[in-house]
Amino acid sequence: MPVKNRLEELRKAHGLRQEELADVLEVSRQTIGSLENGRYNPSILLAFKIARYFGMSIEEIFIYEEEQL
Amino acid sequence: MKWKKNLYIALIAVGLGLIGTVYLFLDKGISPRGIGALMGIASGLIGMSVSQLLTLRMEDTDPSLRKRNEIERKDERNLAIRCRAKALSGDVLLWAVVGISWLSFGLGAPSWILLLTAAVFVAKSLLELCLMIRYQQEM
Repeated sequence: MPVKNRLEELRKAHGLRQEELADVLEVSRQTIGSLENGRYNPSILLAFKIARYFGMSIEEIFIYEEEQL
Repeated sequence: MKWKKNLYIALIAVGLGLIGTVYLFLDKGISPRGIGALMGIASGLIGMSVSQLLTLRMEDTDPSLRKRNEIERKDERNLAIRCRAKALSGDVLLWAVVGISWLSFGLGAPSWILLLTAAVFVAKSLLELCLMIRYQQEM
């Protein structure tokens, strides 16, 4: 998966449980788990929601790693 | 929410109506296959509607449950999973229909089976094409 994220790190830094973050972002707890594990990439809307919630830019949370050719 | 309740109550009424119809026409030459089909549809309608009404009632008494269910329904990952599962199961079903078509041809089954499976294949392919054109215009 070429997109990594700092969601787990940021959530823990804010002292939140997955359920609490899921409630704020209005997604399921499983979605938060999948995002943290890198199994699922969010839509641009959800990425904006996450970035706004943590007061950061999308690029600061989601890191795109270009695949080597 | 009110319209949902009314819809499920109406579906229960339809189910009960079907059961009533079966009893009315029981001794008037209705085939056992017809009875089975009507009773199956009726019990399915009643069962589904009762379970939905119970869910709505539970959501009425517990608003947090309603919010949770709403989130689960609208969750983008759940939607993506549902769409992918539906698309794949549709494809698998279509290829199963093609398999049945070949099998029926090989086994010398009646021609209407072959025509029916071919019609299902063509209808699904056309519907897929129409939806692709529609989504290409939308996106």
